[in-house]
Formats: sequence, C-alpha cells, structure tokens
Amino acid sequence: MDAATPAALETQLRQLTAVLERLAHVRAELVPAAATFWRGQARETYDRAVRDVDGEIGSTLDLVRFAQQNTLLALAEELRRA
Amino acid sequence: MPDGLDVSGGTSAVSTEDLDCAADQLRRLATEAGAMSAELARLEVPSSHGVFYGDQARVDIELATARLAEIAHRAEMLQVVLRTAAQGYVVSERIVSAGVRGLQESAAQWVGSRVPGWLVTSGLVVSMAGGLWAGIRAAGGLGGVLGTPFDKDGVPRASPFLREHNYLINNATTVSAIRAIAQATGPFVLGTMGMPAGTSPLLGARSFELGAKAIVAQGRSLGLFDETPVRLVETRSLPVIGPPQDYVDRLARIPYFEHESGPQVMIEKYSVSGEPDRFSVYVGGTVTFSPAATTEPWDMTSNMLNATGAESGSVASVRAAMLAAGVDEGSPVQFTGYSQGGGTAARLAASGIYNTQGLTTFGGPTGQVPLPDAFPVVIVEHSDDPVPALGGEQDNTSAVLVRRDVFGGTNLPHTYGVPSHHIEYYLQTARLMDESGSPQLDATLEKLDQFTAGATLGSSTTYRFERSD
Repeated sequence: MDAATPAALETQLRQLTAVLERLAHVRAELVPAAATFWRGQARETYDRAVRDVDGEIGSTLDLVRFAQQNTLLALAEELRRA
Repeated sequence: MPDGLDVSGGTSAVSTEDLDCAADQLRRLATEAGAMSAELARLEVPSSHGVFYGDQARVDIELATARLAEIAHRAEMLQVVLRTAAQGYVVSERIVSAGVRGLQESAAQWVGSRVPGWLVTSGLVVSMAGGLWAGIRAAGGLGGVLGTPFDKDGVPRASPFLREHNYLINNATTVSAIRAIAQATGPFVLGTMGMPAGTSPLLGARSFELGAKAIVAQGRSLGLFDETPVRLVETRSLPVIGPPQDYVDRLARIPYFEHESGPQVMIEKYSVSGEPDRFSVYVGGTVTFSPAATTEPWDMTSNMLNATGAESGSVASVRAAMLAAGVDEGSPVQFTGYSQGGGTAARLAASGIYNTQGLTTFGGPTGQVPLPDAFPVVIVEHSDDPVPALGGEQDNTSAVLVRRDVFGGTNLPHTYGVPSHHIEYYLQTARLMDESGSPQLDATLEKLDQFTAGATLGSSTTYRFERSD
C-alpha cells in the first residue's frame, strides 16, 4: 500500500466535511424564500426555478455525504490492510 | 400565497428591496457553489488500489463537483433574469395599466360628449334613480320580487330573492364592471361638460371626485344627499384590554352592529412616558343606505360626500370624536376602518390634518383617496365585494393591498345579500392574513404595532353620533 494513501484520504475526508457544512449553510442562508413581489405566472415560474435550485443543492448534499462515508470506509479498509 | 390571499404593493422601494435581496442571495449562492466546485475539483483523490469504497468516493466527488458547477450557473442566470424581469415587469405593468385606464376613461369621456347636456343638467337621470328609490320604498319593494330591501330607516335588508341570487353581484366579474363604471363616471361627466378628450387622465383622482360631485349636485335637486351638521349623542367607556395583537384584533375592535344603530367610532388613548398621548381610531361601516339624510350620519349621503372629497357627516363625526378624545394636530394617530369606515378613515388619514401613523381598511371604498406613503397602509378588499369597487380603481400603489376572492362566484351562503362584504368574511380574511407568513403583511404589522410599543392603554371610548337637522 502507498503510505501516502491514508493521509490523502484523511485530507479528502476533512475537505468533504468542510464542503458539507459550507453547502448546508449556503442552503439555509442563500436560497431565497418564495417570491412575494410578483403575481401570477411570473411568480410561479420564478418560485419553481428557486425550488429547482434548492432541490439540486439537496441532492448535491447527499452526494457529498456519500463521498464522505465512502472515503471513511476506504480509509478504514486501507488501515485494515496495513 | 396560501388560502387565496393575493398580497401586493407596499412601496416600490420595499418591493425593490425584496427583489434586490433575493438577487443578492442568488449571486452569493452562485459564488459559493462555484468556489466549492473548484475546491472539490482540486481535491487530489488518491488511487483506490482496488478498494471499492475509494472508487465510489471518487465517482461521488466528480458528480458533486459537476452538480455544484451547475448550481452556480443556474443561480447566476436566475439572479440576472430576476433583476431584468423585475425591471421589465414594473415598467410593463405601469404602461399596460396606464394604457388600459386611459382607453377606458377616453371612451367614457367620448360617450359623455355625445349625451345631450340638458339630459344631465336637468337631473333627469338622478330623478329616475330617486323615483325608483321612492317607488321601492313606497311599494314595499318591487311587488315582492325584491322584497323589502330597506326598513323604515333605510337599514339594508336583503330580500329572499336577492339572497337567493346573490351570486349576481358577489362575483369578481360584476365587481370589476362596477369598478370600471365608478371610475368612468368622472370622465363621462367631463365629456358632458364639453371638456376636450384626454383631460380626464390629467385630473387623476379629481376626475373621480368630479363624477361624484355631479351625482351629488343632481341628487340635491331632489332633496337627496343633503349634508347636515352632526352631534355627539352618546359616549361610553369600554373595559381596557391592551393594544391589538394582530389583524383580526384590529378589525374586531371596530364598532359593528347587525341591523341596528349604535356607536360608530371607538377611540383608544395610549400614554407613553415623556411623549404626547397617542390614539387609535376605529371607524364602523355604513348603517343606512338611504340617500335622503335621516338621523344616521353613516348613510349614503356620507358615502357620496366621501367620494367627492368634501367633509361628510361621517368624517365630521369622527373629527368631533377625536376632538372629544383629546386628539390635536400633533397627536400620533392610527386609523382602522371597515366599509364606509374604511373610506372615512382613509379621507382623514389623507387630509394631512392629523399626525397619522398608520391606516388599515377592510372593504372600504378607498381606491381614489390619494394616500401619502409616509405611514404604513394596509388595504383589504374582497375581489367579489362590490363596495370597495364603488371607490374606483385602487391607485394607492404604495399601500399593501390584500385581495381575496372569497366565494369564487359559487357556493355563496344565502344568509346575506352581499356576503362578500360581510364582516364575518373580512374577519376570516384577517385571520388568513395573520397566518399567511407574508413578509409584506408581517413587516407592515410590525410597523403598525410599533405605534403602541411601550405604551399603556388608558381608555377605550365609543362615540355615537346623529345628524342634527
């Protein structure tokens, strides 16, 4: 086993954790609330677009979580092999 | 907006502020997402050496990197579209609104110019209306078709026929037509006077007032709409509760009596240490629809005089009540009104006589009362309620306007002739407003509440007025 691998995986894990926290914060703070300034079709279209962005962020959070878990498992496997 | 509330307006500055805030959030979101995408792309994912989880993590990271780049792109596009569309929306709405209004008013003025002047000035039109009114009363209500729509004092009584077919007037289409006709009356009168085409839009709210003045002038030739002095006949102290908590509480404090006369005004006096006393003035709705003045100042004469901009019996009564309560020109005042009380409160708030700090109206004919934007204003109108429509088009764009189509033209209760105007349904709307979570409504309520923040409610007094001649 490459001795640098566990260290690289640990770095990867830390960075993924940081991205996870940062993205969760972005979702909470920077996704706009539903529009109150328009009416009718314009408002519906805008609100739908914002909801889509929010959904994208949600699925990206899931991906980063999976990456984090898989990195953790990979690290455990590397350490076990060592 | 849930539950059928349509909340719009607030000052354009507030709307722009909301738009800017949303666009700014999206811009920052785009920056953040782009930065995180770049960060993940820079990540040196170690070789997995056949470890399954390592391979899986690599795939997840690559996908997340692409997704974040996509989010950044969409958020950036959305903020650009938001800013551009917002500007276009405001501009186009104003152009379309002004264009449609201009066409309607020009048409009305043109029609008026084709009506023989003698027909209008002879009072024939109003004579017919007055005759119809007298006939209805004398005959006990159109031979039993409409029933007896008014009792001896003109207090409205919906006949079984009217209640059964109340969908005819309690629907958004009819109400829109009423609003257009009310708005067109002024231009029509200008046309009959031979004023050149295009003058009506130049007059703004004055055009509407001119139409009302023409009707009042003609009515007076028949003894209708004659304004009289008013006198205070009764004051009564109420138990002191505390400042209003929400929109429902505000509406519920307005004096209201079903099928009888009672106090028309309630004034709460608040004290704040080291500051002048402040007052909340609550004004009730029309009591009688009689166009001939009886003893009741909350009548059609006051409704018509309110439309002209002149001092009506109801406006004079509220002014007298305020004087009796100790309100002077410097006293901070907040007005709340329902139905005619809404129009009366709007007139007083717009008069500039008082140190007005807020106005809330429910079902009032306020459209052509030019309200300043110096204080928070909430105007509540049911889209299927004909009464606010009698005030013409709602031109107070700096106010927060709440509209709700209560029945949608179907399944109307037959308890009332005009259920869409009944206070029961405005209380329902007020409850929806309180529960809506609308930032505009919540922010405006907060401003209205600041009026009594830290203040102590000293007295609550009702006032009843009568016409004296």
